[in-house]
Amino acid sequence: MGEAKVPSRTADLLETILGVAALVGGLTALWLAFVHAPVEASMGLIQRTLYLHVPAAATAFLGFATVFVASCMFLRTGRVWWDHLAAAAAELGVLFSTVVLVSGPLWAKPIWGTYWRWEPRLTAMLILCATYAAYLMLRHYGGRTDGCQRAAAVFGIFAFANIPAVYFSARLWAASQQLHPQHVQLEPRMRLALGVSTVASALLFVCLLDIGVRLQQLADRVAGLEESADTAEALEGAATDAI
Amino acid sequence: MQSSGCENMEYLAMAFGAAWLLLGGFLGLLWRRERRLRRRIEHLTAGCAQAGQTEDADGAKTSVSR
Amino acid sequence: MKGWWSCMLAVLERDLRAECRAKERLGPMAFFLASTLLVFCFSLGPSVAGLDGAGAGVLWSSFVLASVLGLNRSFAEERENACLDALLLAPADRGAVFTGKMLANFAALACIQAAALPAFAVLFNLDLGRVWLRLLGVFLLGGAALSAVGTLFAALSSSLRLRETLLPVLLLPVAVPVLIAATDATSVVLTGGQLGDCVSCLAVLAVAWLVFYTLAIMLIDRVLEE
Repeated sequence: MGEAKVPSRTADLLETILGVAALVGGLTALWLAFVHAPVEASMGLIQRTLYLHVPAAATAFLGFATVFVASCMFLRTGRVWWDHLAAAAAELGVLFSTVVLVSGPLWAKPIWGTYWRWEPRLTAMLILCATYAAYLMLRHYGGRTDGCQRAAAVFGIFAFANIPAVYFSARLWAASQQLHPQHVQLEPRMRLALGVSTVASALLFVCLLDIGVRLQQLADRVAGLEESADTAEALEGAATDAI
Repeated sequence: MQSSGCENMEYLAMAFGAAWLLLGGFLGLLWRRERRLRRRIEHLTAGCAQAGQTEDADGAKTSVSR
Repeated sequence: MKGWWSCMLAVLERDLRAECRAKERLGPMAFFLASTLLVFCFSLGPSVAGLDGAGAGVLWSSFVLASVLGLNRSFAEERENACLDALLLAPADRGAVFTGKMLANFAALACIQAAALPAFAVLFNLDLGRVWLRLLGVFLLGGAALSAVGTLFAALSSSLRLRETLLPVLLLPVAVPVLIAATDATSVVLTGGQLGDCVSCLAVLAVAWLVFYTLAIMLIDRVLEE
């Protein structure tokens, strides 16, 4: 079992800076998205969902990539911290991909008339959301053993390696449903809003990741305490029997 | 397809609202998890302290009986 | 190198022999495949319009579900009889063990795929006379990819708490690209196309198998650790 990292003053300071940065970034992004950026000509107001949908998708991928790297590092070094990172990142990956899957249809309804069309990119995101949800089920139901951690790491690597196949096959499958805006020319103000939104989303991701890792460490500590409590009980029972 | 601004406002609000709800729900989940874990830790450390005390008492008894 | 081959062949032979003797895998798999085909047929309705064009999808969905049954048995027997520990203690290359198991699973899947062809032709009113060979080719390629990832996940889940329950949970999302590509290729062949018409699908299946198998060989040591 890895030792719990004792929070140092520097770590606390960094955390606070990160939190403040995320908050400031978020507020700036909101202002830019709703006030500064102009209304788009063809789609109207609903186009502003872009500043939610695209950053969420980018952050979801950031999460998936983090799971991959953390899984590889865990298998290579065996340090439990990497395992905690993978678990926390997977949760965030599922969260952000859910945001994508919710904002997509709500964008689609006024534009294309239906909530869900088996459109390649959204379909691929759905498959990936399901894959990482399966990862979370593995962690939750697989037990708290070393074997489960290793199994989760292996699955995390497979899930990430599968991503190109997912995208390719979704395109293959739903090529007729291609409606997603492909390469859109954005005005500079819109590009700024989009960029800041993406950065703010990434900052939020890192903050939540930090919290998630700490909670995993806490859970580990509880598991350790429970184990020693069980052992103490067993010893006590043996001692009272002896008496 | 040109849609009226008011209609789109609804969907825009729903989209952002849903995103905030998801984020808020997730933060709530994390908060509940932390509370539950900290309560477990308190309970377990208190239990260990108690067990330590009873052990000492038993130890004292056996040494006296000897 | 020779040791790798002999180990792999030994594992394969053992699995195949055990299967031929007890038929613990083939029997239930075949029956489950038949039942699943029937369930799909019933839910899609007796009218031709409902079933038309759905053949490839129904077939591959049934294959994936039936393979889960077989994969579960793949490592379960060893865990039950503690043979896995003996196997791992022996100086055998884990990659060879994995490859042997994968080939055994592939063989089982291939058997029931071949057995499904007549029933499939009858239920969906298809004339497979000229296309059955091409169809089998697609089946084998898809089955290979499925067996590679399925065997690894079976090894993974066999050491966990909810072993049989977790395997389909893990396998199905990751197998979706294989399912899509295989179904696409099958429909192309069923509508009379040549294998050259669905090259991209076949390429996806081949690449998927390669990636899954390579990753599995690289990671199998960490999976089958005791």
